[in-house]
Amino acid sequence: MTNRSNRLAAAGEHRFKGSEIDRRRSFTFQIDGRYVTAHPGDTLLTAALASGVLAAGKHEGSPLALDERFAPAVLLRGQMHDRLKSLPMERTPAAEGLDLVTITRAEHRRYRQQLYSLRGLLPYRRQTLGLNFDEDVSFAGTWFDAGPGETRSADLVVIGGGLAGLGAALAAGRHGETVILVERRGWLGGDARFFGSVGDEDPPDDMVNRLATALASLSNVTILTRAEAFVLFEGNVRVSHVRLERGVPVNEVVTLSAPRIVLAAGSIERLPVFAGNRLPGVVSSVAAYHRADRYGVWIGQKALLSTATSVAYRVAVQAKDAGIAVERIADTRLNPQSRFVEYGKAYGIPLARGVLPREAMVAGRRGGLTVDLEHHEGEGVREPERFVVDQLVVAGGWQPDLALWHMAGGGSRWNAETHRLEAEGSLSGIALAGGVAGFRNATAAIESGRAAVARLFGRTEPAVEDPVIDPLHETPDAPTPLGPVATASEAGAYLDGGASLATRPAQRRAVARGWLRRRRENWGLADQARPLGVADVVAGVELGAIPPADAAIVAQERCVTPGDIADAGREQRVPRQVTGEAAEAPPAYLAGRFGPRTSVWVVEAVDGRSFEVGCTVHADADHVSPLEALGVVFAPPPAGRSGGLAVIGRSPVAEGERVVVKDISAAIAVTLVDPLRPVERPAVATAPAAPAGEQAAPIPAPAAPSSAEAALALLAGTAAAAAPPDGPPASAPAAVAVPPATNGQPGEAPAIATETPAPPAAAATPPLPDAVPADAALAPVPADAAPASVPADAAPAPNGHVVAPSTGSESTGDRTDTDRTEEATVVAAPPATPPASG
Amino acid sequence: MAETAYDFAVFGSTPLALLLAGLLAADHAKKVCLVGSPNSAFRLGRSVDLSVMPVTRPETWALLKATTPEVVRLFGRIHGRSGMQRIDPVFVAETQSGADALSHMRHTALGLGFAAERLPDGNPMGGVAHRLPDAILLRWTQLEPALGTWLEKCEVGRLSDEEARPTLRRDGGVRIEFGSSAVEAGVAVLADDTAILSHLDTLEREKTLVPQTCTAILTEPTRALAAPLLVYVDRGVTLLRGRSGGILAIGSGPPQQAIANIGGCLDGRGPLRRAGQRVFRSLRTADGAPLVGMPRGSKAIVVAGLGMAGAFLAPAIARALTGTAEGDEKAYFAAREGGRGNARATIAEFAVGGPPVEVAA
Repeated sequence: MTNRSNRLAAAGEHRFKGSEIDRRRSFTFQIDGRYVTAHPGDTLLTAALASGVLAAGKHEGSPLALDERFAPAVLLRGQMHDRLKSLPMERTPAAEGLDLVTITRAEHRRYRQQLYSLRGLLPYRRQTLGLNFDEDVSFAGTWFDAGPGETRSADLVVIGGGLAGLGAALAAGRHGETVILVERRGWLGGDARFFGSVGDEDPPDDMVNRLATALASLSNVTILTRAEAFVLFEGNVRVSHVRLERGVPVNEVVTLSAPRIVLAAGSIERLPVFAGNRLPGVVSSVAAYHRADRYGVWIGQKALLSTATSVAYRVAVQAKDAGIAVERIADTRLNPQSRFVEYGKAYGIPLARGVLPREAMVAGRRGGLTVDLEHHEGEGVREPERFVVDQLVVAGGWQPDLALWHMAGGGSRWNAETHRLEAEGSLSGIALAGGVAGFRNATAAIESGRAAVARLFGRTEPAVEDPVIDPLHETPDAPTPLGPVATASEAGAYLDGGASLATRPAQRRAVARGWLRRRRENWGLADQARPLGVADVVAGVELGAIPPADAAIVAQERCVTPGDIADAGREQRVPRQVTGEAAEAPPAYLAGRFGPRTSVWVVEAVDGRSFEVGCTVHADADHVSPLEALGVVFAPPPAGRSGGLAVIGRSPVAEGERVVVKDISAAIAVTLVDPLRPVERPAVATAPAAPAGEQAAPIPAPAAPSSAEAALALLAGTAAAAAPPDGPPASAPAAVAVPPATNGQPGEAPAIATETPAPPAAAATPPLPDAVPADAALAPVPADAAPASVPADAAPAPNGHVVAPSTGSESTGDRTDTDRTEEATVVAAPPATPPASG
Repeated sequence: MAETAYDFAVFGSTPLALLLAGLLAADHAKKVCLVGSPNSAFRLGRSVDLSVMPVTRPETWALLKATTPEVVRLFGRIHGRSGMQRIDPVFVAETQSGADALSHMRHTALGLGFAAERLPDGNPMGGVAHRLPDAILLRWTQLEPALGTWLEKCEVGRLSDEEARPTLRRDGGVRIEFGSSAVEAGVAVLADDTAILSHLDTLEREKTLVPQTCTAILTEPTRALAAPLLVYVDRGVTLLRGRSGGILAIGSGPPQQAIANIGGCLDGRGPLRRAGQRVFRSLRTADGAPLVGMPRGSKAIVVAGLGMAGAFLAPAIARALTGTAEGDEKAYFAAREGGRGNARATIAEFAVGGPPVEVAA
């Protein structure tokens, strides 16, 4: 283990001592065979960070920071055989004596158990967990693949234990409803302490304590901390809940079922987009705050803050209180006004305005970051400033965490003013509260939780006031900083801090025509083979990769539960051998291909070979193009015969006639030996049309003609009456004359000369005297029996399926594109933009 | 209200639609307005664009053989080789009827000069598999922006789906209002399923076209497929390995059904997670054959049912729409119109995926 400790001193007057940990005691546990020191109250992640493990591994050649939003799952060594028991580092409490191994799927497959213990001994592994994120592995926890687990029911499930969630749980609990509240962190109150209070509001801790105490007195309210909701669908919430069982952490998947759900998931802090924005040492302001405030963890002694918000100044101010050298607060805004800014000044921290991060680089082998800041608009052209620090704290603004909302089917829209994707519309049984609903102040968050409960239970909603401080005194957050496009040699510029690892493409240098030029590939977020987070999508909009109008649909499309689809298909594996019987009759897709008069023959080769289905029959070996075929083999020969069963279009043909069959590259002489008696085809069943407004019934199994006779009718090419001229296909026969057709081109002269002119079909064809039962289909008939064309009246369908036109409703009810956008485009309000030309 | 007159208004955002609009303008000197919104860069694909497809009619193969070089030359001129990829797609059948259809396909393709081979039994794909080597796959994410530039050069007017408010006229023309302006076009061409579903009257559409729900899934990175492109013709699943290691899987049916079908094709490679999911409606012709022309009851031109090789037929379609098609090409499209007098039964094609399923409200 590295000697480096990232734990702040407990001495002195400052807030960053770690309210969750007990410094009086410490213990060790192992990750991948290396020892990590922890205090009671630490999570596996904070203990690892405090012990100097700052990187999760490498991605595209650069180290990737270990972070609250990006930490690998781990397994207890004794449970490596059961990957579903993996634990999230950020939510699992550290416990003495644990022996853990990091897990990614590839590693789980690849390495033997004992190799894990060796990895930690390698010197270069000391600051990293050493995972390779370029491999084909999934980063999401394996609990996503677990079954539904235990189901618990309640009147209300509250997702999020911040102020809004607590307010909601208390409101419902006091009405006697049974409530289950889930909170992913180990504490209640969310980010309230980070944001602080406004005006005459009580301190956030007081508010949280009051609510938590009141909830603790209610026996009908259950609170699950370290419980992360990862699926929200139709009144069910699936939760990964970590708890200690006799000192050993256990991750159980629980399904919470409730008719009403309050979603109070809060907001995600946006990651400024610049090269190196996820190197070890780069951390979001809210994560830096909680690490320091709750666990006393801070990386190194020198820090730099790059912010687009005022609240992030608090981190710098309190870090300075804790003895950290804050080199600079670099604000992207030109003239920010805020009480937080004033605090920063009062603490003597150098401030820079109109500055955004350009690039971060690894400073050296011993860690640290080199950070280039550049001035932008209004500041004139200046050289970038360079800093060497241990930690770069970044604050890129806030995005409501709509992941579960989208998953549940909720809508959203892009707000060009706030640069956020905001929830839109409503969902039955789900109400939003707090930051995810756009509320900002602490009191408003609590009230919004109460209002959400009132709405769900049909009570009178209290009014929610969310005062906004005059921009003159509190400058609004700026849009998330976007640095310049990096070159390929630089570290990746990630769109967000989550597991998607979606990056802004780098510029590549390419030598072409003797000139050194820059070439930028077309960027497609559609190619990113990981689920995107909401913040990824928002960054995509700001970078111009996603049109604002499409942001919501992209979020719905890409913010998905990464469930295991291979498991879902277990019952429908592709068989090793094909199933089903050989064709009794020519398939519908041969209809009309060989003209209006067809017959079925057994063809036999002189050498006794059998032909593959699809081999074409020709008049002679000089004309073997498929376009010149007389017929085609459509089935193997009857039992005891060689050759094959062929449909022949030329008529009449006689038994014993010699033709050739094209078998791949050879033309084989064959003899027509047995004609099959053609008969008037029975009506082909059509699926009944669904009544208006109902779903078109799934068509049952292929309604293939059960006999050669039926298919002969189709082959005759007279099934123009696929549907009556002005209606859907009918099952009743209809005599419709169709012009002769050859090679599917009605009205054209037949490509193959026929000995007799094709008669007008159906209506003109005399019915055969004896209809043959279907089961007698392939009975050979005397050679002098004349093949005949027969009328057809129902739609032949590909594969033998009969396709019923839909008469059902236009809406699909399954959130198809068309429902959401495509059909809506006809009535969408248009901007006044002329076409590009004309 | 200012008005501009166009010869054609092409509705659609697919490669076929864009190509058709450009070819009408560039090769046939028509004034064309394209109504559609490019989205390949950020939406999951609804289909793949390939120079071959599992069809059985020799005339369709012959047409593809004639038009594919034209399209390849055009894309090469517009964007160079990087917009296209030569691949060896594999078509897999799980039922005897599917295997028979693929056998017809292979013999027809071979007879017309295409390369095709049946893979040995016991292949990793299961069922019966046929490979059609050296097919051309369009990399639409790369091509779409380049095609946009080309359309500008061809002076094709462009309107986005969001801003356009079209009204189809009874004579087959269209009036498109946008903002405070409007344009008129003598011929409306609904060139992709989305456009047809959006703009064609339901009753007119249902006489020839059957809507179905489809689901596209993008998976997280996984190890390579047995072939770069796999089409399971019986279950209607297409699998394409993406550049970033994930698999784009397109299946017919609503999500639950499609995922089960897709998952069955990806069995044996361990857990495989979704990275994205798109549910959309598409159209299938009732007989599996292409429809290029006026469907019964409508004067608007509909281009549907062309399958994954639609874009490669664009030059011929452009000629058919402008009346400059000749010989076999002319006959081909004459047979595939949707008018009431047409014997479409005689041009029925093998349709991938079995009966369509649509999710009702």
